[in-house]
Amino acid sequence: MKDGHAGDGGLMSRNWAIELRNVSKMFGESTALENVSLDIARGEFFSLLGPSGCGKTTMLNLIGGFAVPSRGDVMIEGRSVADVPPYERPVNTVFQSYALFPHMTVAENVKFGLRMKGVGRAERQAVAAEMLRMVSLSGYEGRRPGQLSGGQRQRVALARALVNRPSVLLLDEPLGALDLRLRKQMQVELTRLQRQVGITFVYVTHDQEEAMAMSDRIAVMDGGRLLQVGTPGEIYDRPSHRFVMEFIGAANSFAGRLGGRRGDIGEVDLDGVGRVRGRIAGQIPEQARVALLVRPEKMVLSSANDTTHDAAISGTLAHVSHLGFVTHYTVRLAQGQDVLCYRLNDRLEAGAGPLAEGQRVVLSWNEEDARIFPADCEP
Amino acid sequence: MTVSIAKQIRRRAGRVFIPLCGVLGLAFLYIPVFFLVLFSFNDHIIPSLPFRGFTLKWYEELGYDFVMHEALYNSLFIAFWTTLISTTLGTLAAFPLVRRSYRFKGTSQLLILLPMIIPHFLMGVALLIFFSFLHLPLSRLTVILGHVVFTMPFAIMVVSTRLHGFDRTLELAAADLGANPRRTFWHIVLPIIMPGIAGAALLVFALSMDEFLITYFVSGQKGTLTMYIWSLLKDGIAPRVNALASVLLLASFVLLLVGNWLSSSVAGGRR
Repeated sequence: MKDGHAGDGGLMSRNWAIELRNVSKMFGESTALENVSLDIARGEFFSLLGPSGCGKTTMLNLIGGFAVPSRGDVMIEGRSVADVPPYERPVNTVFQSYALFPHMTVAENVKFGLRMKGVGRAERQAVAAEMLRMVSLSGYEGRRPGQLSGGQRQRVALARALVNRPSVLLLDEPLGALDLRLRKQMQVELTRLQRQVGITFVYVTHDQEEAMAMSDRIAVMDGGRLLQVGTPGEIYDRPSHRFVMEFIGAANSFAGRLGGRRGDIGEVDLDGVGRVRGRIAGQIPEQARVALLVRPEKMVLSSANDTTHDAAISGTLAHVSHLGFVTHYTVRLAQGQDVLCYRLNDRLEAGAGPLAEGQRVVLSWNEEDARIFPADCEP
Repeated sequence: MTVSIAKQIRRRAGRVFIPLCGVLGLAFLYIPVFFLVLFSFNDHIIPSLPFRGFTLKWYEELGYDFVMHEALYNSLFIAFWTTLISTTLGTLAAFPLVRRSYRFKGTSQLLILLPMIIPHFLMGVALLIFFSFLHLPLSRLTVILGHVVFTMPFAIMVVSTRLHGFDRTLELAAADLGANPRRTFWHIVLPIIMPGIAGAALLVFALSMDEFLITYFVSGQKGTLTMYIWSLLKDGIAPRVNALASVLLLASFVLLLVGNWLSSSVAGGRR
C-alpha cells in the first residue's frame, strides 16, 4: 500500500478507490477543508486522523455525497461524483450513532440496501443471513435495534453497510460510543473483517492509537488541512509537522535557534541548555527560531558521571514512576523545564543501574531521532 | 427531638395528604360521568336519586330512535372526512414548520396555531358569514370545512412533536443505502412518525364528534349527534341521553385504548 502516490498518471489511477483533487469546503465564512488532495488505494484500510473540527468528517461527507465540495473534484473508482447523489454512489457508511432504523428488525435493517437495489427476496434473505453470520449476529434477525447492546448495534450497522458490497466503506468514529474493552475487541474484529471482504475502508477517528493499530495508511489533519499521509511507522518516526509529532505519541519540545547544518542534520542552540543536533523537517533558514522535539522513548538516560555523550543535556531526576514493563522518568533541567524519558524494563536497560530521584543525570539521543521544526506555532 | 417529631408528622401527612389529593382530583373528574352512566340504567323517567331499579330499556329505546341513527351517521360521516383532510394537511404542514427555516417562520407558526384559541362561537359566526358571502349552501360539506379549520392546528401540533424527535441521520442512512428521497419518505420517515399521525387522527376524530357550536352555525338540514342531544335536552333531561352518552363514552374509551396500543406497539422498537 505504501508506494504509488499521486502523479503516477492516468493508467495508475485505476488503482485508486478514491481521489480528491484540490478539494475545499467552505461553510459560509469558515473553511472546513482547505485545498486537500488525497488518493486512497483499493482494498486499503485508510484512516483520517485529527482532533475534532479538523475537517475529517467533512471529508467523509464529501465522499459519501452528504456535502458538495466548494472547489475541486471527488472521484470514486476513477469517476467524478460531483453530480451523483448519495443514493447512487457505490459507497456505504457506518454512522457514528449507527442510525439503525428503529421500526425495523435486525434482518430488515440489513436487507434494506438490497431491497432498494431491487434484489430478489430469496437472495436478500440468503445474503443478509450470511452477512449476519460474518458479524456473529446469527439468531438476532428478529430483534429490534432497541433490544440490542451498543456492540451489537455496531455490528448490525456494519452488516447493513457491507451487505451491499460497496466499493468503499466509510466509518465515522464507529467505536466512539463503546467502552474501552469492547473498543479494543472491535478494533481487532474490524481489521479481520476488512481483510476478509477486501473492501476499501475509510475510517475517521480522533484516537491516534486506534488509527495506528488498524490502518494501512493514515492521513493526519488539522484545521482543515491535510498535514501528512503515510503508514503508521512513517507518521510516527518521520512526522512532517510539529503537530503530527505531538498528536501521535508523546514528545519533549525544546525551544532554540538553528545554528549550522550538515545535510538535513542541524545544530540547535537550545535556550539556556546547550548545543544539540537533530534532523531538520522541511525548509528552515539558519538562525531561525526552531523547536526541537524528541520522543521520550528515544531519550537515553544515564548518570552524570558518565561523560561519553557529546549531544547531551543535563538535569536532575525529579520523579520516577515504575509502570511495570516501562519506567517513566521526569528530568528537571537547570532552567526549570521538565523532560520526560521512558525506559523499557528489559535486561539490557536494567544493566545501566538504578537511578534515584534527586540524582544528577544526563539526557542524550541519536541525532536521527530528534526532529527540528519551525517555531511558528510555539505554545 | 421536637424537630424530628415535627418532621415525622410532616412525612406522615405527606404520605396521606398527597394520595388523598389524587383521589379527590380523580373523583372530581369522574363522579359526573359515573352518575351519567348510573342513571342510564335507572328505571325512572327522571334521572335522579334514589335509584329505582336496574333497566336496559333506555338502551333499547336508542335502537328504535331513527332520528338519532341519522344524526350518528352524519356525525361519523363528518368526523371521517374531517379526520382525513385535517390529518393529511396537518402532516404536510408539519414538515416545513419543523424542518425548514424561512422568513416569518415564527409568525406563521403562531398564525397556524391561533385557531385553537379562537372561541368556537366566534368562529361559527365568522364561517356562517363567509359561507353566505360565497353563496355556499349550508350542508355537511360546510360542517366538514368548519371542523377542518378548528382541528387542523391540533393535528399540526401532534405531528410536529413527533417530527421534532425524528433523528435525521436516519434519512442520511437511507440515502446511503440507496433509497431516493421518495422511498426514504415511504420506508423510513412515514412509518416512524406514524404513531404521531395516528394520534393526531384520533384527536381530530374525537374533537369533530364532540363539536357543537361551530356545527350549530354552519350545518344545514342534517344535524349531528351533539345537535340531536341538544334538541332532546330542550324538553328536560331524558334518560335516553344518558344511555346514548354512555355508549359514546364506551366508544371513546375503546378508541383511546386502541390508540394507545397502536402507538406503543409501533414505537416499541424505538432506541
